Amino acid sequence: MKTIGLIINPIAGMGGAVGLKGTDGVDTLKKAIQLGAVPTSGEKTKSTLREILDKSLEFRLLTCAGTMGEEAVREVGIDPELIEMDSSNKISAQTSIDAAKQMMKKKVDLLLFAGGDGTARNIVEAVGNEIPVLGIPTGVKIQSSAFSINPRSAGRICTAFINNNKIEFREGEVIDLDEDQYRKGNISTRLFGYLKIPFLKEHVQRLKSGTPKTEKYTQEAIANDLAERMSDDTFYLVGPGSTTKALVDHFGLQGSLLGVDVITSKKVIANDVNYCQILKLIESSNRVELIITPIGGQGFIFGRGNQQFTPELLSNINKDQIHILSTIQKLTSLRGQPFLIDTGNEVVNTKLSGYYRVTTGYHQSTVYKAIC
Amino acid sequence: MENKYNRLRNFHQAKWDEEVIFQLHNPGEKGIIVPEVEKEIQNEIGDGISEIPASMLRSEKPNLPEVGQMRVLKHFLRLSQQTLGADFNVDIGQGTCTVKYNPKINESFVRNPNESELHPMQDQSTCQGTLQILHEMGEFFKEISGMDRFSFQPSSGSHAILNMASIIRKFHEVNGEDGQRDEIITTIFSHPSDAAAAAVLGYKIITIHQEEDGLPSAEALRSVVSERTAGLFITNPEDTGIYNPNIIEFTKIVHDAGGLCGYDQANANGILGITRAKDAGFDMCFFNLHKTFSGPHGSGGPAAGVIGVTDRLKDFLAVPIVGKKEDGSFYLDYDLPNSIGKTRQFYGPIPVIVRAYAWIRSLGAEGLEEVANIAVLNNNYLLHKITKIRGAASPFPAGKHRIEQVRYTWDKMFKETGVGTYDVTLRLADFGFHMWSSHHPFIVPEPFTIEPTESYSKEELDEYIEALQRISDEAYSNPEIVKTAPHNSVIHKIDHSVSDDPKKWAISWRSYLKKHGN
Amino acid sequence: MKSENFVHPYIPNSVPEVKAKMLEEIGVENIEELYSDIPDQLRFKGKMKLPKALTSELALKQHMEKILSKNKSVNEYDSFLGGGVANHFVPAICDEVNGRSEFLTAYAGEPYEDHGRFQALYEYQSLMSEMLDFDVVNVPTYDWAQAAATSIRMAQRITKKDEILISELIGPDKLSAIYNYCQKSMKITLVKHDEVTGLLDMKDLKSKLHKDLAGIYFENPSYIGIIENQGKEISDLIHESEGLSIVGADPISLGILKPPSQYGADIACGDIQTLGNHLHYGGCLGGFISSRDEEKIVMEYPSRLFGITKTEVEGEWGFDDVAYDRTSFGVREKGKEFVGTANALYAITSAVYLSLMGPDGMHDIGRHLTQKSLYAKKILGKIQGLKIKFDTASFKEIVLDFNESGKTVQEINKALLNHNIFGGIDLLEKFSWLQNCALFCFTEMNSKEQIDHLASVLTEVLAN
Repeated sequence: MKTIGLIINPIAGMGGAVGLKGTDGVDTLKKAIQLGAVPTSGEKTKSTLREILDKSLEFRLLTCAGTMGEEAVREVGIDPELIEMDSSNKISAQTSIDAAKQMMKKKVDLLLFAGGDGTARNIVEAVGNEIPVLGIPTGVKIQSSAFSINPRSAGRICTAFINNNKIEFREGEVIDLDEDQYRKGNISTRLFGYLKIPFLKEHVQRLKSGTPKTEKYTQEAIANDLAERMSDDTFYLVGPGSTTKALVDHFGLQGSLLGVDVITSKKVIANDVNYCQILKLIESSNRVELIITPIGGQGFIFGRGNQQFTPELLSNINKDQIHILSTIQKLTSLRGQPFLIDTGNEVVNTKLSGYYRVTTGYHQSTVYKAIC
Repeated sequence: MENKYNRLRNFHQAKWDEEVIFQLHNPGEKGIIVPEVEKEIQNEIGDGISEIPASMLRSEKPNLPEVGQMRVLKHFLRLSQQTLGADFNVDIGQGTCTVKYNPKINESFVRNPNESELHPMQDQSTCQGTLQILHEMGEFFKEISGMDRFSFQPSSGSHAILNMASIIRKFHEVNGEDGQRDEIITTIFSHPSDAAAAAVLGYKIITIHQEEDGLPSAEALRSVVSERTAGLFITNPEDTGIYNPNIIEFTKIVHDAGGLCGYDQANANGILGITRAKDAGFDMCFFNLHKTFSGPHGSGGPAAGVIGVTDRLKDFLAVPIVGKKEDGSFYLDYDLPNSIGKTRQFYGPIPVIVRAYAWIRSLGAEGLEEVANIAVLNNNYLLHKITKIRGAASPFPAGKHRIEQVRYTWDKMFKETGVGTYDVTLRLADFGFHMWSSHHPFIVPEPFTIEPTESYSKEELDEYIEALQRISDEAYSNPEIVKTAPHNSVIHKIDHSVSDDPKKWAISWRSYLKKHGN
Repeated sequence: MKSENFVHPYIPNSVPEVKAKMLEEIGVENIEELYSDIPDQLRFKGKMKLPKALTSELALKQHMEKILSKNKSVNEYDSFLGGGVANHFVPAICDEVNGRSEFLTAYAGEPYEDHGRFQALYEYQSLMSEMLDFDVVNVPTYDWAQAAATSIRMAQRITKKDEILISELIGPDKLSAIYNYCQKSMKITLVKHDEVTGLLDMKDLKSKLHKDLAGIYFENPSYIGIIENQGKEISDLIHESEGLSIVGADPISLGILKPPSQYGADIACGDIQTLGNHLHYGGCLGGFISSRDEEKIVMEYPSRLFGITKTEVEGEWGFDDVAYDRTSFGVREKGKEFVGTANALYAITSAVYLSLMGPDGMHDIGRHLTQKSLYAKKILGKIQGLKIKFDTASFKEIVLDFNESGKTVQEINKALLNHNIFGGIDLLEKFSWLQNCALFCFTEMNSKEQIDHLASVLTEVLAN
């Protein structure tokens, strides 16, 4: 029997309703409450749970006491098992982290969490990509590709997971804004890691044409393709992301998931470099090329998740020095929306806009537009 | 409530609970008797088997079932009744497949012994009828496409693409550029085989993504052509049903870069006599005879893909083609100096070609144009009606009208109710209809593709629309009935879990017995 | 000219009132408006020059039958032609089933409303797998040539090696198609045959073996009809050099001949025309591919493979695509292939054929064919001016050597044609080393009388 874990961030979403662009931090919450915000996260989660209940499946549900799960679960008529938590503590980011760690220890098969990007950030900090996790979108900021389309569809995915049916996994980026900066009008996002997200394999009606590939397979194929085209006298700055990391893995090297790695002559010469280190490296080399991947669901290629590539650096880079790698699934997830560039420098943005030949497989590429 | 759907039938498909043929095995029963050789031969030769090297003699007879003749007949007739062929339904839901009426009279021609009992190696003087059909078909297609020569070697649409890729390869080889030109460009809404079949020959594939309006842009194409461009494979109208008005610019860009242009005309049903491949600048094109030209789909084939080229590629076609001598007789012509050789054994999928020939003869030039006109009329009628159904939409602003098909989406309904394309497909089976989603990748979420062709009456189209309307109503009021479908089909929800598990899948009955016992 | 109100039987909505109603519904004046996206310069302004429409079914029938009457079928003439397809008996039920509207006009429905189609194709796979003594058979591809080409590419992907050995005794048409399909990504090396026995030249094979071979492809019986009795040895040798053994076989021989699986083949392929399908001037083919049920092989099939499963209702069979996402072993994408519409209807027909024939029928037809060709060998071998080319066991085809007569095959066949006989295939067109030799095929359709008649006509022709 499968065990499903559930963590509800009860305050998620409260800031949004009153125009606060998020609910991270104690002060913001206070302000939200003052402004009349009411908790909705638990309520939304109930529609997820109802979707699962309808199917009369056998599973164990493990959740947290009170508003972090128990209440919602009981209200839909399930008797949950509870994890032990120190109830004296106020609910905070740390509570979510602790709960997620406990859930992992208890070997839940799938961890559901209800919240937004902030909560996703806590979860990825606690469990990394070791166990399957699925976000129920109840927060204000939902930029991470760790969430289902809506709370009910989380229920459907969970049902399929319990049934062992049509489930595949993808890596979902956890991205979060720096809320303080954001409230001041500055957009500053970071990539905080990857969660292992289950999704429903789209039913393929089976005829006529080839088959879609699994993400991992495609990443390998992409790495094979690029490896063929790399030359020894070039410094390659490999940006964050699992698609680009697959390239580093391809050479049997140690890459960093969230940082920029530098490869030359099939060797990693530096991991997780910052902007200054990059500049230094560039000075000493003949040719520098960037290897990057767009952020899934959003399509940013510069300015989100890879701020190590500063406008100063990018002003010295031309389009032909940029390799964009992406699985077809990731491109498809953009639903036709172009790639976005937002480096903070208009000149650089404009210079890097236009068409790119995105590597999507072995000897396969897609021509895709980037705009700013 | 029911009155609202007064066009829908109270349908239930045949359900025989038919066994697998091996379960009908009854030792000693006979389906048919093989005649013994004449007594004199037996006396002369003996059993013959002793002449076969012992090492090559099969020690046990193949473990086929033994079933009496009538039971075999009944078995397969029951299986046929458990199949929903186009002759039985309003088969407009298998978009891009052009499932249209396959005239019965045409079956009589391929069952005529003078068509079916011809050996491909018999003297050409004894198969002038079939050669004449092949030759005339070439002439017909020259008119339909504007191209200058046709070959009937390709066994399907994908196979025709492979033929086009082979010609491109050979053309650049002859020009000493084969090593350099290793890229084929296509678009995301062209048929996936355009990419896949070209890749078989080692080409790198560049796919142009569509812009927000749904069409690929000339600018995007311009950004990737180079001295490495071998050719362009493109469908138009694309699989969305949108006609790309910039097509002539596309072919020019590729020609300027030194590449060749191949037109995938799988979607030709709405443009017969309306617009022609050569006029849009193409060097090659192909048509699927089992689609536009009315070959029955045969449960998944036989298919045929006739390929045509312009003058400069005349000698590159697969051999043979059919020539006509001065005395009016026809012959198999192998004398194509740059030919890519054979791509199929013998001369092509003849029965498919003969049926298509008869279909064209029945319609003539004006009839073909009327086919296109009505196919487009029907399609836009459906577009108008379907987009009024709650939860359904047709994405992309480009192309105010669509040509012969439309890619629709249930995205809205899926988000609102959890009922998506596949659920609708299974529920439609309850009303005796098919619905197909689309090719991967699913750029359009929860897609479905409808291609009405010219064959179905307005009343029939209305019946199909009503089924979609009803399922949408159900999705919003009682989604369970949709999600637990089919209810009136042959069987109920399948256990898919064994199909991806090497320990459990069973691709043959013997394998099933080994893995699952009994 | 077409009258405004003409309605073709195939186009119901041509009825003016209906057309008008639909246009009104759409909100356009005329159909022309619906083509507004096609630029004027691309509009075809002329008229296609096609022959006048034969809109009456009777006129069409008369026209078609008139053209077809110019053909001379193998029913009218005595045919001794083989070479990949042959005139075999087609039981009535084969045609009854493949003419059924349901199968004839079905295409790509789901396993529910098209359950019967799925089951019939699954049964095809199952029946063929018994013939081949392998657990996996595909839904057939275009023809034997494509089946062989795909088998070779599968071997390339499985072994990750790029060179294939091919016996020079395969049909040149097939070889040309294989070349076309494998060009650029594989090296093809031909293996010679032994000029005396007509079998594969083992010495030549051994000299060409090395560790970078994806495998070897040979046929049994070979194009020249000979039963290759060194199958086991060939398979062993290629296995020693870590390649795969791929064998093409005529399935109608497998009631008495060992299937390739029993002499070491890893993949078998061939054509199902001989199992219940008519000749159709070589236009009715279907290429099967078969192998063991090993994940690493199964994953390389580009074809559809149907599997049996259950449904949520006890006792119901369901059928489903097996391993639809067949990608896990294909990291090296060089060998990628495509799948599309091929020849399902002919597979269903062959399933009917094998169901009717059963174990005895397939055994009996194998014996029958062997006896016929042995008889022909004996009778024809006595004729002055011709020799039986190889003194090696053959199945249904034999090579006649006319060198002694001083006549070409073309001349001989022309003379035979005057006697309403289709003589054998001129092998000179196929293999330069087989001058004045022809491949004659004998099936259950050739009576003793026909063979005796052939002998007497040949005697006369060669004597002159």
